[in-house]
Amino acid sequence: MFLRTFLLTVALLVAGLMVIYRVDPSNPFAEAAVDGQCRTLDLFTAQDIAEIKYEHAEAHKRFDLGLFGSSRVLMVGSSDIKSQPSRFFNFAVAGMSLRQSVALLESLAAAKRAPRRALIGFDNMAMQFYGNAEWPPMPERLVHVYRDLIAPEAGQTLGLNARIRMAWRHMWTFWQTVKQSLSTSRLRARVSEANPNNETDCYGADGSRKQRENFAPTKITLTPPAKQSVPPGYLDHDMARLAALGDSEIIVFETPLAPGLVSADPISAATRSAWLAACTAHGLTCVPAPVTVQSESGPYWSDASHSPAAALGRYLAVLSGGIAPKQ
Amino acid sequence: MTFNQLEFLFIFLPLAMVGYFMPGLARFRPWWLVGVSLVFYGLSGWDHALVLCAGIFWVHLITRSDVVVGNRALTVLASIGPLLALAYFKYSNFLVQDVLGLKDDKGDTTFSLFDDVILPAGISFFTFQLVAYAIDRYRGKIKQHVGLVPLAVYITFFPQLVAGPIVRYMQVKGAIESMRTFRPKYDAVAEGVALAVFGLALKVLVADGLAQYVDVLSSNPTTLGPVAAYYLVFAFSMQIYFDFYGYSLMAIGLGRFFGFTLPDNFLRPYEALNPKDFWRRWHVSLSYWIRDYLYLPLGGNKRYLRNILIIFALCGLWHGAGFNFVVWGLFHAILVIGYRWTAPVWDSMPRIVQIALTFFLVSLGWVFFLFEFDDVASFGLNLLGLSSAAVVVPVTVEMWGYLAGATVVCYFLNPEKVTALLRRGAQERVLLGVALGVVFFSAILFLDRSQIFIYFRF
Repeated sequence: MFLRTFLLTVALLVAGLMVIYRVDPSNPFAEAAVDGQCRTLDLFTAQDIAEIKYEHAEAHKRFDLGLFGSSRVLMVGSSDIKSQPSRFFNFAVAGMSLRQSVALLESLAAAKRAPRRALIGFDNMAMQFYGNAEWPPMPERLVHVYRDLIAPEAGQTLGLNARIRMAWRHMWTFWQTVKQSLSTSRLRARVSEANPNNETDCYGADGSRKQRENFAPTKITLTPPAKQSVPPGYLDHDMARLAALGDSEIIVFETPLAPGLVSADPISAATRSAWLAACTAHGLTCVPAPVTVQSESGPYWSDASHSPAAALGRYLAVLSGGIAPKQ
Repeated sequence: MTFNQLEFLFIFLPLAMVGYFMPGLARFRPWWLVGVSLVFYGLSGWDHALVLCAGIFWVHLITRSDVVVGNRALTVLASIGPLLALAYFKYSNFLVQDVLGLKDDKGDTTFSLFDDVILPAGISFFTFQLVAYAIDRYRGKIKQHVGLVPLAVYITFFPQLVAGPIVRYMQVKGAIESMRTFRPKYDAVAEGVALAVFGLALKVLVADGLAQYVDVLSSNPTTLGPVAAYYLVFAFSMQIYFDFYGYSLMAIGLGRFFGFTLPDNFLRPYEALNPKDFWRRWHVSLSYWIRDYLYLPLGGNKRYLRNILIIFALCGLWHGAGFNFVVWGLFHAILVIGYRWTAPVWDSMPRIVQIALTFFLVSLGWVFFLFEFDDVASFGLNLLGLSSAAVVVPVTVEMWGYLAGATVVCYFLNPEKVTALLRRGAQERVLLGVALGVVFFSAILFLDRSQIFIYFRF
């Protein structure tokens, strides 16, 4: 009797928690658009922020331009990219992998809310990590798992070993999301409001995160990737997934590293060449990192892989400027 | 790996139990238990698991023959291996730097030869169990050597491997011998679950809750005003109790799943009436180990003063390699001796005064655990309100509230008694099931901010 009651109580409480996580969170971006103040989302996990950005896009008419990627592009706002605030949205999430960007764009496309033109930041440095998508949540993510394991279009390049590794990575990612879910910080974030403020590191209405203004010009160093974790076959698979999204103009660009580090090491070079081959093979527009993205008078790089928002925004504006969005 | 990790609770423990109770494989249970225990330990450092295995092999090789019974030289030889490992890993830095004051060739204040030595978790605990086994063989309490695998089960059993209770072989002999035929009884498993949940909650919700305040205050030992200093003393006193008590309860609870009845390690220590009584209630398995393997062989009460000073100094040193721990031990020795001298007066005080005074003195002693030796003196001035450097650090209502809550739990909640409700009616069992379900769920939600167990560093 005791054990049954104990287990039932725990199961009910866990089910309640899952229900809370399934309820759409409040939309801080819409609130920020109303009062012009930004919102701190520190307590939210990456999967929550992806969810909120998805919900925002779903509630909004289709954006002309969407920026996807990690913290390396998160600070680029509509003013940086010279776009009207209402027509641009930054879908990036700190720590978001290429695989997560693809999954988010696929979900948006399924909801007919994929931006007409999507700029997807490809993070060479981040390819040393598993980088499996943490969003959408289970059980929806099972579709991604199934497609990753089958991956018919990459049949020649993906051996059994790579698929077993991918299965293990999905289990690992699932466990990470379980751990994130069983925490008071995520629960608090989901049940509380994101209060308006004007601090740094908070999010504006366009989905971007404010960046501190001026970093001092300092020597910046970067530890090159120790390994390449994402098998080239899965890079090919992900590019194929993007190519299948016919309703959006997709530009995959390599996020720049600090000037002088672009061709730093053989692992980065091999990753870039594998990605470029896959990307162009699927007919996507693919842009490797430029040699320099910087401003001569500041703002300066905060570290070796996070370029200044204004400079990166100008670069991305040029990058996307020559391609007319589909009607 | 530690008990307050989701990986332990939801992956390791279920897998360990599934393997243990796998139908048709009962004869492999001892091997399985040793295997999973070594994985449990090795996940924190495989080289340290080798140290553990080496200690077991060493004691096994020397004590396997009955020649060891009554043979002092062989017993010393059996004990010296694990003790040397303990000395190397735990005390080499202390000896070279603090005791001998050696400097390296660059004239630095520290000698760096042993800087890279990392203390294997729980080495003090399993070393004492290995030594206890060797001495019990010498004394003939263990008539025949039990064999390598049973010895390994006894030493490595993961619920008690890292922070006790320090078990004697005879206390778990029955469980080890009947492993292959053990079938879990519902009541024992239910009690095990209840104790483990209580333990987890005391650690995560009480001890770690207090830790957030203790960590902030203890980072500035020299500048605390008297109010904050006293808050720190009492909050840490509660923290270390619930931290270690929580671990012990979990160990006892988890032991039940595998048919082991581990001894109680805490008997309401903060209800002790005097310092001597405190040591009958706090970390009981260590107190009895010291009594049986150190105090009595030294002559016991015949040379009371000398022996008390020796065993408490060594008890302090067992806890940590530093003069602050030695002084902590001597502080308790003085308390125990002082109580002996003043017993007629002490015992005539009202019971609540005795308890309060004992708690106050014991709590003061924990200051030596909290700070480096150099900071203790200035912190003492803060306690007395005599420090010129003290600044007023606000102790918020929330902080007082948390401490008050911990105190209520300490004096008014008895997990063992509550668990005994399981043997009563169905209504009590249902109520306890719901209550512990809520407590377990709450503890799980706070695991992400849970800290490592304090006693792991010993």
